[in-house]
Amino acid sequence: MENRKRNARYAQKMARRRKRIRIKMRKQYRLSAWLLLLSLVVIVTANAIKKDSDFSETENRMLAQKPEFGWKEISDGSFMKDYESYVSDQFVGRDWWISLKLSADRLLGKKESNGVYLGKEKYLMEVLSKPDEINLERNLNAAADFQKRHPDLNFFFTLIPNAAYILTDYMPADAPVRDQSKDIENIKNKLGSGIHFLDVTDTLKEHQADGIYYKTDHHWTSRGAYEVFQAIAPELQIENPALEYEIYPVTDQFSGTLASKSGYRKASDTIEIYVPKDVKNDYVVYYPDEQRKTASMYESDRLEQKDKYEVFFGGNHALVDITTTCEQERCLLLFKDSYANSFVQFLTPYFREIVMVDPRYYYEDIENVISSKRVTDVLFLYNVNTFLSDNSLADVLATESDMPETPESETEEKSSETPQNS
Amino acid sequence: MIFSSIFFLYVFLPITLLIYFLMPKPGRNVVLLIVSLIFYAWGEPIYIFLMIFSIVFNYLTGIELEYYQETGDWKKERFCFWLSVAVNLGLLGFFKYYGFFMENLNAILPFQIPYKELPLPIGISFYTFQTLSYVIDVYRGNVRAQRNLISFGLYVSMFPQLIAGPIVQYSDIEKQLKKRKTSLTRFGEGTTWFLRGLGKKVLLANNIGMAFDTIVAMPTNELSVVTAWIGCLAYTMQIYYDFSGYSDMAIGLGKMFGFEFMKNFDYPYISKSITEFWRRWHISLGSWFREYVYIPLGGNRVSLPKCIRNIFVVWILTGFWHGAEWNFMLWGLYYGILLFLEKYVLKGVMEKLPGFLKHIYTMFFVMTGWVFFFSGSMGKAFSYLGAMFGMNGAGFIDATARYYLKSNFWILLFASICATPVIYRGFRSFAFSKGKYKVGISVFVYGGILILSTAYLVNATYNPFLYFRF
Repeated sequence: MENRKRNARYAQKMARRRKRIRIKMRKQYRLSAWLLLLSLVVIVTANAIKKDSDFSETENRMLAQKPEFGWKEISDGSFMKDYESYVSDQFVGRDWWISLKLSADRLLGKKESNGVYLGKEKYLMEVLSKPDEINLERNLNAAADFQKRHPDLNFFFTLIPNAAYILTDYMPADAPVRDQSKDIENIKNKLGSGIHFLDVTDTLKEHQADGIYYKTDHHWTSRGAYEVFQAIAPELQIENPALEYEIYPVTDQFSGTLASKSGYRKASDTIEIYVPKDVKNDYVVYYPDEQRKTASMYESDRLEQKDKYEVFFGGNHALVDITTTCEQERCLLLFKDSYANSFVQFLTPYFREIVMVDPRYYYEDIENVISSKRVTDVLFLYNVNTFLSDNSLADVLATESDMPETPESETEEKSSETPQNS
Repeated sequence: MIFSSIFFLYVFLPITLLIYFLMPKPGRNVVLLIVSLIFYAWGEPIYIFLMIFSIVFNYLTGIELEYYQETGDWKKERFCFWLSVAVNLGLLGFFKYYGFFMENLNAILPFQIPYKELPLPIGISFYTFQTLSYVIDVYRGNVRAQRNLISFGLYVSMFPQLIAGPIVQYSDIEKQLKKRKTSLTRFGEGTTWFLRGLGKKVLLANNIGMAFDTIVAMPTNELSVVTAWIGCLAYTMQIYYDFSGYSDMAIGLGKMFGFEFMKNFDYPYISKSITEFWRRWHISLGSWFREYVYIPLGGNRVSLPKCIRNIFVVWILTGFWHGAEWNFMLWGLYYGILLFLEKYVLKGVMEKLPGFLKHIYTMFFVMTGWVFFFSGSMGKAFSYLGAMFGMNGAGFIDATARYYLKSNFWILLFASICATPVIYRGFRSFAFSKGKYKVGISVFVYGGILILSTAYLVNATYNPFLYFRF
């Protein structure tokens, strides 16, 4: 009797529980339905109201626009593809969604974003690239041959390792990093004895904590360039290099390429320029591509734009010619990538003329430069990442007879390959 | 088009829902058929004709079969049936296996036959199996032929399950094509399924997939044991969340429109044997093969040699269904052997093993199996397996392994726990227990999934252009 009563009570209890669950489940379903419908309505409406924009500041690119509608575009499927990119490029609050995703990633402990390491103290560092073996071999052979053709000139070669290799203290723990000193060693051995190789790895390693690389950009800072200059000046046969510099911060709002690439924009960098004290340092910079002369290597209007590193020489040019009031008889031919742009500020007091050649854009005969300018010294200055993947140096160093193709076709080949680093 | 895209979520779906629910009931099948065809044509417009052909051909076959059955013309019925099976399999074979066939033919022939590999029509493996199930069921007299072309077209092309299943058998859905109930509650139930699937796909599968992609791209002779196992675990999780997430979205969308599809995954990674694993993994494919291959061959009610033959036929076909490469066939064979062993050899041993050992045994073979699945070729599969068992001499653990372990630890842990029913069961009992705001909180969680998934999808096209001066 007692038992049956208890059983009945239990059954009742279970029935009540089932009913509660059923009611709650229904409530959950209905609320979820409203949630989805409302979200769709809100977002679709917002997308409809929002005006299409042409350009994304954060991504630094043109955004997809509404595609043309036509049978041809539909039948080959291009309309559908374009329409999909149009919808996601013009999605309402695009930047907000992107930063939300990045915060979520960070929370999950992600250490990389789009080929960029998320280091300690807001340091962003590029994942290091593997060498393009064929072009590397060509470039090194061409450099060695070039030196042999000009035994009367002084040859220097220096490669600047990248942040991910140098700044080990700021890298995410255990992140796999390519050993760039092996790459450097390998290059040094292949260059031959005629070219004086300047290894700056140890110098930079010593100054890890001194802000030698930008946190948000793949370049080194003027401080990094300064340390390297101090270290290699004697080897470059510069007597009594200036020790005292006036340091001017020209902007503290620099958000560089790595910030864009990774999407992390927490830090902003300061760009400094170094002006030597107690040394005569007057010069004229000539840009043949723009037919323009100026008395400063700093292009202050570039501080208004996104890529503020272009304050140095306004970015890369095929050739830049700097004539100085230096009384030395030395003329330097500098083969370089964009790392050199912030390095030249240390060199101007010691050379009568400096010719900067960026092989990625240069299509003239280099021999003319050597003879007409009476070049005495040649320096190659690249960062390791760019040099390992460069495909243009060999063509510039080769003589006419070495070149199998006409210069025009070379031109096309080069410009179609976008270098990863400037 | 795929469900996990901004375009589907915020353009295609809202428009479809709007038209579908504004349309009075008799017109709804037409609406669904049209949007399904658009959905299908979106990626590769030309194959829409293949789809239409498949619909019309099998529709006519069904009617024809029934006509011969009514007139008692068995010979013609038989011919008609086998013709239709041949056409359906022929189309699948041509589009899916033609390139594979030619490649192997060229490898043994002394001369080369030039050929061009065709782009695979989306979902052809799935809808061919659906049309076959229809034709076979009509032939066996299990179902009546569908006289309404629109209903039949909808059965073949219905967009929720069109491209990745579940494989719906005609008999399961026949009534729903004619009459089905839609309501706010069912729509909401569908929403929860859909959002769970979306989260599985976008938040779990895609994220874990990135770790897998980087590890598998490394040279296998440099992989330490731990790195190789992290890669394998990442793939194990990725494929489960990818596939089951997609199935969940399909089931959810189906419910929104009033359809009930069968469950396709039932926590496969908690299985205690390989046999159980295949009862929980891609259920609709397993039941298709059982229904239309294994049982017609006699199943296990025939002599032992035939029984064994049946197992291997089914599993090699299952492997081959997944892709036109030898490694998929090997993968199928691998499961054939395991299931054979479990059934005839290990039965006694298995029963005595403690539970946790059974779990370890199952997951070990499932994970090893995925290596055959994800490696593009047999050679790659074996060298990756070599890395997993330390045969490449790259050591047990290295900095790379620690790095990937650290940067993927939380997501792999979370994914592993979610592969058991613990989290979802806990979530449900929380939501439906006594207390005022608990249902609200659970819906809030679903909202969070939607928002985060949207963020990840928008980010998929995050594409900064860094050097505009070039």
